[in-house]
Amino acid sequence: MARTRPLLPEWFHRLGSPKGFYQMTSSWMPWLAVTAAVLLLVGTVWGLGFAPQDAKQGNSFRIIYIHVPAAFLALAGYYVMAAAGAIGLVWKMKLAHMVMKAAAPLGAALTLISLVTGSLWGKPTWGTYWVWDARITSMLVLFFLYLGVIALHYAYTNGEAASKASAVLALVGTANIPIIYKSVDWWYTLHQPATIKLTQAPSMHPDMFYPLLVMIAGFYCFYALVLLLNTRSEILHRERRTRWVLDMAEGGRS
Amino acid sequence: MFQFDSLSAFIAMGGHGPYIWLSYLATALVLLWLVATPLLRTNRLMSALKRQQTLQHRESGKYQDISPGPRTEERSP
Amino acid sequence: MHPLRRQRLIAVIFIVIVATVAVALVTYALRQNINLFFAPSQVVAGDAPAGTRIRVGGMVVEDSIVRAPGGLQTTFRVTDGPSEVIVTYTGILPDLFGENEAAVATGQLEPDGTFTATEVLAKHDENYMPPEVTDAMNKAMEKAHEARP
Repeated sequence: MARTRPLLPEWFHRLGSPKGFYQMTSSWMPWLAVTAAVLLLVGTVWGLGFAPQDAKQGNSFRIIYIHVPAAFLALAGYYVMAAAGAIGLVWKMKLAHMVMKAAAPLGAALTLISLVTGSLWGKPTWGTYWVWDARITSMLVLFFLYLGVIALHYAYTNGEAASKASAVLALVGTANIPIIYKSVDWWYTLHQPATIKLTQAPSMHPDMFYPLLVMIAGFYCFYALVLLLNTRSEILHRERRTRWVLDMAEGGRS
Repeated sequence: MFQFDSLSAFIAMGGHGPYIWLSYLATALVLLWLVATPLLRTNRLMSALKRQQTLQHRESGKYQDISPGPRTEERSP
Repeated sequence: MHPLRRQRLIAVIFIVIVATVAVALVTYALRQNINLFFAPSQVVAGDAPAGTRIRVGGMVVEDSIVRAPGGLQTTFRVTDGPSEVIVTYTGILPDLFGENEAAVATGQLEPDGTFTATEVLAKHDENYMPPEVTDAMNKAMEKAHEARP
């Protein structure tokens, strides 16, 4: 449709085809892996050993350095998944469906991390591992939404029907995301309000805040890395009967 | 500046050690699992394709057949 | 845009809007039940049911913590500003429990208006600060207090 007057640059169309996407992202992988590993390592050492302890909570607050970044990416990842699902539904783009499938287990794992670390943080600070307040319950709903998208992919033997059904579920689930964000402001919860706000300075001392920023950046890179790894693996599976994949398998790694 | 006087103080974390170290350990395991699964899945596929191709070359010596043989729907368990 | 694609895009937007409205209506209808605890004002106004297991949350009033000698029984008051509720609790309190800190108590409202708790949780705020900074701030506050006639 855009043959006479290309609206989008050439690389965009290459990204749209599974083969083009695979070849284009090949060179990104080592850089992403190294950046993610360095940021996560620096952030962990900084947060665990060098950030000062909290005046009230002592050292238990150090769990924030994985709890908050994991929760951030669990929420942002849901939008990635739902947006990919919407693009796949509207434009019938195969690659978008693959990205959506790749985002589901990654998001579920990050949600699980934030739930488990939150629980382990809750015991020494609140006095309980679990409480059914609005923030924690809506986060659990997010976990089940991710599991639902994964389950739908397994439930259908027809790939296209699976993509459609899970995209619809992902879109319906977007209603939960604003609730998670605002739950601590709208209702009485045991969970404290957000430390990092878009419009205000963070309510955290800079010595504690910088390692948190490093960890958030590290989790973002890690997310991109695993999303690409999953998508690339999915591309090879779906295109395993094509010449370029068979050639690659035979040793001529492109 | 390192916040702890000794290694044992670092491990104890002022009594919160078990919670903190368990959190970090669980996270590390999940992150490693996330990276390992797609890599292993890809490796399995590629070696299966390679095996299948070697077999085909052997069967059809003269010409190269790129048809994939019997359709097997593989799925990670 | 291709008419078929436009149609599918409208369908996608429709799904998101309908789901959001549905969830918004449900949470609006349940807004009172979604609250984890009652504020002392609600308890004093009689909004909290007596005789059943509920939660009450608020700031622990300064100098209100009384520990019974030779036992684990503690009495304290929680406030949300305008109202206060007296809470009695037998058991071990969390480390972060203290005066001028928020707490959430689970238990039962007695006919006399006091609250008997079976569990007390500490609710901490979103501020994180090194101990030295807190000390320095407290000292500065004290100085400012002394300077005032």
